[in-house]
Amino acid sequence: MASSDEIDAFVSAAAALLDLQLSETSHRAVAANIAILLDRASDFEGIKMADDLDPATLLRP
Amino acid sequence: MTAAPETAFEIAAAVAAGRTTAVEMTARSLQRIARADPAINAFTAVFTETALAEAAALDASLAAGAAPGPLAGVPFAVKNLFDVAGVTTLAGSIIDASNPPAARDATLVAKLRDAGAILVGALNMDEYAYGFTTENSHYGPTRNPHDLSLVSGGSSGGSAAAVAAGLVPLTLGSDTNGSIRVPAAFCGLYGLKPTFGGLSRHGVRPFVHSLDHAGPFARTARDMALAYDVLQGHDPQDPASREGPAIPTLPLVDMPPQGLRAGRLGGWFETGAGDLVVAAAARVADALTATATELPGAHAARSAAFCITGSEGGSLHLKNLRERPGDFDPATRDRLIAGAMLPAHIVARAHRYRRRFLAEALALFETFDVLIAPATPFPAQPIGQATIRLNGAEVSVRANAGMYTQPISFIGLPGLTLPIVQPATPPVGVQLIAAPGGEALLIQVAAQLERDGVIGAGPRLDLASSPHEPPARHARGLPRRLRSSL
Repeated sequence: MASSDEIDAFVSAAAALLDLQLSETSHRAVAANIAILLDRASDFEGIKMADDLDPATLLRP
Repeated sequence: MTAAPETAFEIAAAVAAGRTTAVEMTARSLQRIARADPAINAFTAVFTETALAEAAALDASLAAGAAPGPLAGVPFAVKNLFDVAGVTTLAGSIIDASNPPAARDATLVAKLRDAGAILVGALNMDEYAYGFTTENSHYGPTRNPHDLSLVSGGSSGGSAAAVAAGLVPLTLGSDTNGSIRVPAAFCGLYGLKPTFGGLSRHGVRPFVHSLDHAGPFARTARDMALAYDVLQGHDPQDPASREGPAIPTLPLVDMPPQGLRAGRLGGWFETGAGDLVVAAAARVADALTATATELPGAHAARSAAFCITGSEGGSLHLKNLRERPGDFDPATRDRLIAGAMLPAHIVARAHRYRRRFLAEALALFETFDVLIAPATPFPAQPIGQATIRLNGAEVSVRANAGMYTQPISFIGLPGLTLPIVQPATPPVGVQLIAAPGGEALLIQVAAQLERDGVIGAGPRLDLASSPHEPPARHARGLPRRLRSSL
């Protein structure tokens, strides 16, 4: 799990790359949301999936 | 003396038989909106003149011998992310309010109009459909007609509240992670999220292309069948639209389902569920003699849907996040920005997990025809309440009301919210889930449960019969400027 300092640094770098201006308040809120997203990602990142499993970007169930 | 028609089915039948007129039904709906909506705030625009003109034209054509459509004279309204010709599509934002009016109706709006229904207005929602409460910072919160201190749910909160308050019998909403099923549960209604691609999204402002669905709200199973039959059908203008013949649903409504195999989902779908919610799911499960089962991976599925939502939503709005950040609701903006920053490998993996989870879910349908799960972990919460205690942790209401709906929409399965409305408790909803293409079965089962008194939207609320004090408007409120006068 990334530390809050690492997430802050990531948000600053990503904001610069994406040309987004963040106020201090917004920066904090974005960092909090990134932490939630990374936590959620940890729920499925470790699940084993075969290499030939296609992504379902346009799902046709 | 015959009771005045209230449901869409009754209104269409009465108009077709000449017992009432489209103008009379439309005027009644507009009058109810004028009296009750200041308290509820479901509508962001009311199309008084065009609605009455369309109703008069319909009455004239019927008088001249034209065949009535299946929804002749039925007033309806749509979430304000559906394109309506001549009207600017807001999608709950003030950013889109500066867009030009839509050139044509969304496919589903056109289908309802072609069937004789009369469009009376556009409905409030969470900004860009990103939320589960319809506490819109630009247009004010939509209040729950069952208790005006509670949220209506979201993001299609206006669509649910307008039907629950009896202002119109039918509305359209959209559902990316639960935005039809959650407000339907909070407001005690039927809300159908069809199979992914089952109903056209053409002309519907996107939120998350790979997860967006559109669908109807109604107060009875028969009205849901009537609406669904009008709405279904392949649309080549929606790349996700499913091909294949439409399956008429209305003829099934009076036929009891035979040999139904029902499963009640436990595991993730019971995690954190409150007593009312658990009792509601048990009530439906008992009525269908359901067997307990589980859908492993639902927690991970919900998380993957969460990440895809943030990422695709953030990407979609990136230009305005750069150029007009101050015009977003701050909470929406910061979630979208975080989503736009999410590393690509996480999103790619989420999409691959989606394929795997679908395969696991489809295997369940070898044993069961329908699955039962709560629609939400809790009933509607007070407006302004940001968090709720769930599983020992304080979590966001806005983000977690859809924790049981997200795994289902993630893999595009059809889900119908079944309403349970009882005195002295807030409404709750139960999800009935089928295999892809199983909408007709869902509505057929719902109709049987409704006949048996297990579920139902309850008596029509009388909010429209007495005037209410309007709640204080939000400082940035625009709706009154956008309304046409009655």
